[in-house]
Amino acid sequence: MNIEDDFTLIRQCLDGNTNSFEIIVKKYQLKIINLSYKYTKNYADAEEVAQQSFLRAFNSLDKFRFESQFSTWMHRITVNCALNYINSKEKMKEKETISIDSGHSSKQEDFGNMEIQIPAGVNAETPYNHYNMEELAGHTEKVYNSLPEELKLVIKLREIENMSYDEISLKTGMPIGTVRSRLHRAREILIDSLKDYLPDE
Amino acid sequence: MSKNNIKDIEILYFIKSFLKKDFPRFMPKDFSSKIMKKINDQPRTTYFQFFTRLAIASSFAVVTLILVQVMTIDNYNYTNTTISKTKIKAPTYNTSNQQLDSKCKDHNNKKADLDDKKCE
Repeated sequence: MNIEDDFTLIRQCLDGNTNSFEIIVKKYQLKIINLSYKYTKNYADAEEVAQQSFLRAFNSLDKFRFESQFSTWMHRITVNCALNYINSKEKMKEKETISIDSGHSSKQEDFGNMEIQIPAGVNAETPYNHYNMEELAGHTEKVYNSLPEELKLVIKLREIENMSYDEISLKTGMPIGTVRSRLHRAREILIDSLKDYLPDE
Repeated sequence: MSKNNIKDIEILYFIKSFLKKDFPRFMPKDFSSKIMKKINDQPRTTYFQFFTRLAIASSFAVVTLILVQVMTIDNYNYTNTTISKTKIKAPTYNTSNQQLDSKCKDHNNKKADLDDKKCE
């Protein structure tokens, strides 16, 4: 997937096809949750920030100028959302401290959404309705390592080093058609291996 | 795009993140569907709503204009006749001076040689 694909999806969204936005969400969800986590240091909050970021992006899609990459624009929105979220959370904490100091303890329900914090320990159990990404990554790595060398090379150049088909063709000396077919084959093997772990919702 | 294709895209991006080692430790299974639900639940502005709002706004503006006109125009009375300035010709005199004059007259009669300056 390249920039043009994102632009096409955004144009489709702007034309009223909201389902195209689901593809955008699926493409960027991991990046955005990971970025949010870097700010919030808490997965429950990171999820909340990521949701807010996607909603804000959807509601202001008409302001996207098609001059920069969508990922850059989305990154900026997420950082803003994360900072706002942290500020509002700090304010809530301050209010809580003040109310406790003045003898009025605040109700526990007011902070109910912050109760679902996932333990940060390595051996923490996977929360209900969540994927354990380390487990999936480990599985993917095994499958990747078991790929034939020519497929592994193509997928490495394309997915890790973000090279275009032309660049891969130049680097490996393979015709573009061969690059495409090998990449397709490698992706197919990897996707099929994960399908059992990621059932349909 | 079919459901299978969307699922394949999701898995492909999982794989990309795994290969780049850039992924969160936990990922909600229904993350995208939650967002899509929220998006679809958002109130949308239809053409009907847009024109209704426009009609309400314009009728409100017209009523306000009429009210403002009615309230301001009534304060003025216009006439075709020309306005002419008239001088007030009523006789005026200073009463305090008059009293002083009479006092002076008395004074003059009694003491004509005294303090002429006061009576001038």
